[in-house]
Amino acid sequence: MNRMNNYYQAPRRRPMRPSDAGCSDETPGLLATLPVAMAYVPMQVWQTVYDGETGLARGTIFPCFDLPFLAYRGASL
Amino acid sequence: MNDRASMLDRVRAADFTLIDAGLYLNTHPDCPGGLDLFRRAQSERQAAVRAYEAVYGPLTVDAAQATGAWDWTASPWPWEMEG
Repeated sequence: MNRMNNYYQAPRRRPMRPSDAGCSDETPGLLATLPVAMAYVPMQVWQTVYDGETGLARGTIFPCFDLPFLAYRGASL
Repeated sequence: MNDRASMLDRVRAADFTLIDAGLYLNTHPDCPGGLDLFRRAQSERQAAVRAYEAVYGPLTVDAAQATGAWDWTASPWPWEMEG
């Protein structure tokens, strides 16, 4: 296991401006139906869990939380 | 991997499952799947700890024997263990 080296590095970004290429003021997809300025976290639903050994190695027994951070140096997934 | 390390790994894995199941139940206190998982992790942890302590001595001081000789300090310290 070598996940310790995969530390998070915040991408350097300047503030977005409306004139930026590709910047739209329309909210895409599903989010468009939700009110603005409200944060929403979907509720976890029950699922079959990892065995203990796998859970310990992955950092969670729930496959839905097994989300290794893969984007770095400003890359996006 | 020796016996001691694998028995300790069994305790760690059960411990981790128990803690994660407990965190899940904090937000889903009535979920049958979560409750079942917690119960299974609870008994698995107990069994794993008992199996380890029977061979290698107490893991925590509450399991130490004070009837004969004091066994808490008899087993190796963490820095004396390999791996």
